[in-house]
Amino acid sequence: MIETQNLKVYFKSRDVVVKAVDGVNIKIKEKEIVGLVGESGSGKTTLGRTILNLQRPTAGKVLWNGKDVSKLKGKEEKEFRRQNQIIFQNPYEAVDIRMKVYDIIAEGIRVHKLAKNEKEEREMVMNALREVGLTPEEEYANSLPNQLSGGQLQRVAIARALVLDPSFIVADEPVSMLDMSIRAGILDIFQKLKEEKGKSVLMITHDISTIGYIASNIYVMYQGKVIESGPTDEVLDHPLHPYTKALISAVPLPDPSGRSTLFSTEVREEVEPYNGKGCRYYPRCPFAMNVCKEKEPELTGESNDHYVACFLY
Amino acid sequence: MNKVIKDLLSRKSFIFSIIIIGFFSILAVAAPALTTYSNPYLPSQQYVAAPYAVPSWATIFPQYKELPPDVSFTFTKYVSSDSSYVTAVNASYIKVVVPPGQTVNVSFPFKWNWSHPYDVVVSFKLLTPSTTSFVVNLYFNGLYAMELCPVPFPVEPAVSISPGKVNSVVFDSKYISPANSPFASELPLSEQPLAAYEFPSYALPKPGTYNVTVSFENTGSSKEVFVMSLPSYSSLGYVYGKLGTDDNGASVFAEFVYGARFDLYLSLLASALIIGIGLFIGLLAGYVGGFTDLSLNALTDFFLLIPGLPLLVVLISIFDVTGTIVNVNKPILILLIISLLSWPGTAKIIRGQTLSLKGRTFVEAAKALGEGNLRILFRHILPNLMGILFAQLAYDVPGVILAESGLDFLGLGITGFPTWGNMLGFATYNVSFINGFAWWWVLPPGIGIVLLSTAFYFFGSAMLDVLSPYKLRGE
Ligand SMILES: Nc1ncnc2c1ncn2[C@@H]1O[C@H](COP(=O)(O)OP(=O)(O)OP(=O)(O)O)[C@@H](O)[C@H]1O
Ligand code: SF4
Ligand SMILES: [Mg+2]
Repeated sequence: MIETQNLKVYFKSRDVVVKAVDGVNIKIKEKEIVGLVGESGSGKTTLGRTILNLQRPTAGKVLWNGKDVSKLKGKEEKEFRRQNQIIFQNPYEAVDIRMKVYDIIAEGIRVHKLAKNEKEEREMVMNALREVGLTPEEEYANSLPNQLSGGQLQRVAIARALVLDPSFIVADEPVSMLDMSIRAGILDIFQKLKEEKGKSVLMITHDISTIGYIASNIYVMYQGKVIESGPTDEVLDHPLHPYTKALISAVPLPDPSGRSTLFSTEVREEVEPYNGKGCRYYPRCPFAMNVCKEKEPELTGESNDHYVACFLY
Repeated sequence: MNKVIKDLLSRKSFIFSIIIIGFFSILAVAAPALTTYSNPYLPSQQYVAAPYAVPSWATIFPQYKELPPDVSFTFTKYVSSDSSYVTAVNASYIKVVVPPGQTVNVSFPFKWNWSHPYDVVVSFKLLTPSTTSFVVNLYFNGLYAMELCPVPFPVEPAVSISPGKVNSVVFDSKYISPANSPFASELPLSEQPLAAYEFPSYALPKPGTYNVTVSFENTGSSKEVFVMSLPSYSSLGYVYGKLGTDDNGASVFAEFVYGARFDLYLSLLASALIIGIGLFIGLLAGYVGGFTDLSLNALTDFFLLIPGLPLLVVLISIFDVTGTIVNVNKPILILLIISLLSWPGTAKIIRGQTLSLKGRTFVEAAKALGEGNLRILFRHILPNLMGILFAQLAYDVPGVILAESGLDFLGLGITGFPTWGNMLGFATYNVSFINGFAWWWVLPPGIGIVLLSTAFYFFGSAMLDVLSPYKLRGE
């Protein structure tokens, strides 16, 4: 349904080129939740934005039902927008805080003329609010974003996407800005979406544990590249790449802030900077070999759909 | 909306600005009701009092205490040397019978409470006998002010009067000379040119009771009968109205009020124009970006680098000298030139804001929802620029007032009707050691410009804070 082909997104700021996404191939099928895991700055958001044609790729393309999304025009582009939605990392930034919750959610309905009249529009908005657990919905509809908590606002953002009845949703770390206690509630919404409505979701996260429950496939990104991918159970039970292993072994650690202790066990101190040609992980890899410094490993199939980019295999 | 207003009202600077702006707006709107002088620069609306008359309330200061206001009244009492010759015809006319070879004097007493006025005007109607054997003289206490003779070409300083007719007699101290007043011709030669100026101080030097005396002299051999109206007296004082007068005796209050009217009107119009151009260019440059941005930015920089006021001066002068200005309304020309030279700052600020808004996630979210560029512009960018727009409007007003006042001050702008700028200009130009510092003339426009500019600045800042949600969050 959605797939990327050798997608590259480079950002140039003065002399420095940041390769946010560097040759990524991923595929999301219908009614499937796909996990995208990686540490901060690995290019997850950029990939998600590029898939939704919110960012022009430097090279490669994104195919939606076989069509290049950057070449869509008119009606088709509109339909693409309606069917593919995104939920942003920071709910506070993702909504126009001048607008009432009702108008925020109704915006999409109006743009796509989904409601025949005001009554129908109202019904759709209220349904969407109920669906994401914002009840009493009348009360929420009339509030302003700065009267809501982060979790509530994220639900509003989800409702805004859901009201269009999309078939594919990019969920960009929808819980990372939220308190631990309310994360489960938000994730439940996605679980239900898949089970009851059969939507596809690209679930972006830096916390590999959350993805285990809901994703059927998983991609692990490191510095703009996918370094391991496969069915979730397979990858979680038999991680191959040293980076994936580090991610998984970090999971049981109870520190809620996550990132700082992510690589506590199997990572060595970064002793030398990346030289620009070898494996991107070798400065931190405990298994680094000479060959790792010289060239980059390709993503190769190991066993039934399990791919890894590492010279150990 | 309620929250916005509450937020605004909680700011002292906003309250201050509203009061000031409100005050001047009311002045401007109510100008026609506040004063009858719509253009005090027209000669017909000048000399409502003496030049450099001080405001009425200033008489609380000791140095202005003795100064007279404008005075005008009609005499009701008269005293005559021989009451049998003088009888009242009705409430406003008296009949004077003069036996042959005699003189009858009729005196009109009045009380004067001040130092001398600017001028003295006495007027009455006089029905003369149809002979030519009489002379009528007018005295101010002992001063021989006027001699009226019935011959067609009387010997100077006498003036002619028609016999057997109703004559309008007017004595106006402003116009006396050795040719029409014995007072002037009796002065030493060196003082004669100053007669008009000196008469009031001779006639009414200080508080006291004075007499205007009309003396009827019969030089013939039969009795003569005169009928005269009770005379009216009027004089311009050195105290006038709320804000005194300027060098032409025109009401400074009227000038101030109409100046406020014009200044507010012009600056709001110019600011709206500036915002219009700035918004268009800034929005286009910021939102479209790329080559459009580059070229619009270059254009903006070009206009920004032009030194505003000097160019304004040069342009106006050129238009003035070449006579182009004759065909074009000068205020409109000034409005256009100021606006054309002032939009770049606004455009730059709006461009920057647009750029920053465009990069925000909520705009990307709107795009992801399928909103087109126009919808994004009008529903998300423009509403979030509202604060900036109001602020710019408010910041531009003082700029325009200052530029326009500067031009007027230099005499390059508007001179035909009052503006705060040309009030200041004329006031400064006319400062001399005689009038000293006409504070009642200089201070109102000066304070007006400063207060209004400050108020608009505060107004703008408050609007900016309250209407820009994304600035409030300190991002
Ligand atoms: N618009 C942009 N202009 C320039 N550089 C960018 C831009 N967007 C992202 N980058 C850079 O690209 C890299 C990847 O950023 P991205 O936001 O995709 O990472 P991420 O995986 O989503 O991280 P996080 O978990 O912190 O959200 C970063 O180095 C970032 O600085
Ligand atoms: S390729 Fe070498 S450096 Fe890279 S992850 Fe594998 S072992 Fe480590
Ligand atoms: Mg991100």
